[in-house]
Amino acid sequence: MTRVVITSVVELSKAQHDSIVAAVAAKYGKDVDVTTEIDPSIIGGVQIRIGATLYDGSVAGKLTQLKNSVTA
Amino acid sequence: MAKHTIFTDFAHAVDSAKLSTENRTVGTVLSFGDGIIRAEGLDTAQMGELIDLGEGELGLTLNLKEHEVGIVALGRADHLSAGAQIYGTGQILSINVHDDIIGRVVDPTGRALDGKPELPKGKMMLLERIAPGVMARQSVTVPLQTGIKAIDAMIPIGRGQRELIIGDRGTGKSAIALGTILNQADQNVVCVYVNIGQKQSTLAQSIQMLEERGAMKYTVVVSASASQPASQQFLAPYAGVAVAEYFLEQGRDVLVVYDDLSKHAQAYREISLLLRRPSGREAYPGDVFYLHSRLLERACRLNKEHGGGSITALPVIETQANDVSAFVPTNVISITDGQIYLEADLFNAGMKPAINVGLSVSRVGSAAQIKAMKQVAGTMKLDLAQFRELQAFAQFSSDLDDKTKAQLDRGTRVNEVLKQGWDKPLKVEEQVVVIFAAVNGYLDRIKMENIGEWEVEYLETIHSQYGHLLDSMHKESKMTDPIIADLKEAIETFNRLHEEWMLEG
Repeated sequence: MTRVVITSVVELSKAQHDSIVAAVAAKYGKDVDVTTEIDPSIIGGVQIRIGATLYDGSVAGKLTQLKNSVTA
Repeated sequence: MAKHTIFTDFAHAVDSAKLSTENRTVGTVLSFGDGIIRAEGLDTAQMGELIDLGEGELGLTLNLKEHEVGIVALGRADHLSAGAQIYGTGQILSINVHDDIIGRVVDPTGRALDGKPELPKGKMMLLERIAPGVMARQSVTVPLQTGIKAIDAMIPIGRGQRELIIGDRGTGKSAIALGTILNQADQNVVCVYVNIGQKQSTLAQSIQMLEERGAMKYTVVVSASASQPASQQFLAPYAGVAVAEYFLEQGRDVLVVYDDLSKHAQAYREISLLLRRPSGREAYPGDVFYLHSRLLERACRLNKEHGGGSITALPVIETQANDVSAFVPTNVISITDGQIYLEADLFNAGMKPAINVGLSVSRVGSAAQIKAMKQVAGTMKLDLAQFRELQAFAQFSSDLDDKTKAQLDRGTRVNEVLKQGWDKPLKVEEQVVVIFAAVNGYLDRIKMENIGEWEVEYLETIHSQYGHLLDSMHKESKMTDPIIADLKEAIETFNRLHEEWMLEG
């Protein structure tokens, strides 16, 4: 079973949650164990961790990328 | 820079930044202590991959297990705690090398340690790389002049050779290595000095000395001093050879000094024990031989089709109480192409450099000597061998026949001539004229206490009045009959002018 953790700043609506789970299931199969977390430190957006892979759609992640690209 | 250009540049940089919903490999820290991180996740991690620990710190994977990855932190990484997220980078450990690295002091990850700006982006050189194969190599024939008479005459080192410098602490091992770097000033050789686990103060002194003598113009220092984590000390020699390979690819000749590999083995032992790898002899892990063999195999001389460059390696090993049969010294002795063996007893007896000529060898040998040196060094080896044999024997009898006494006198003088300040390298032609005088008996009448003085003035005279001899020797690289005749005359004239140094009778 693949562990999936969805992190967001505010609780996701049912529709948002379901569409994410559907997208994950389409890629990784139905056998997923989804948990949700609330973490204000990501500032905005969502982070989805599937097993050892992280899809980082958070504002904090974007800012880090921006910092790396501007300072490089 | 005008204010508005800073803003427009910044705005441009922000606009052009490519932001994506990244897909990264993550892991979770299970435990962290003594610079070792155990983590779960990181499914796609490879061996030797850099791990982003956050806050600009990096780690290196060293253990890959089914459910766990062992990582060694390259910095202090104080911010980490159990449960923290760390990220794979997909990059194998490498160092940024650029032509401008010459004259700089960098750490094993390529960061500047000398307070000057970071290096411009050059080429990323892998720290772990397979050594060039047999088809790319050719045999060692070009000498690497150390400028030290005892070495260049009797233990010649060739470009592409690996020659170990071994001895107890305080016997002048680093001095030989640094003296060799000083002597490369006009030899078109790039030098890489790798400092592993030394005191910062010692390193500062060495760098200052290299700076003052103008040697930093062709030298790179890669440093992981005693205050750096064991991981940095473990990586330093590989970073050093990676820098060397950058210049090798340009067809240059490179000299790498690893000072010293005993500390390197100790740093690796520390990491291995903390990673709970099984330990063997002297608590070193099983792969300590491979640790050094894969490093020293990267020394090579490439053939013309592969650029013709070379990497000469001078590893340094510190022994305890002259014990060369300890684990790490025997390993490195068997990997290298010979060793320069330094002894505390000789050092204390005033023989500097304290090289034990009987136990030191170079397996490349006279293939890496110019003809002129071969001509004079052959006799010298014989003189010294006879001298050593007689010396032990002569201690018991006071009554010696004239022939034995003459051999002893000759041997003592040849030995005396081999004494040399470590920071006073001599050109090979200068060495040849001095050794020529000693082995041909022109020193037999000089008082022992004046030999040092004799050598200095003799070389001055040769330079000022007989410069053409050195020039023609340099051109022909051998001692032709006219050169020999002229040189004999020169020495005789010089000796006549210095009767005050002669023995009575």
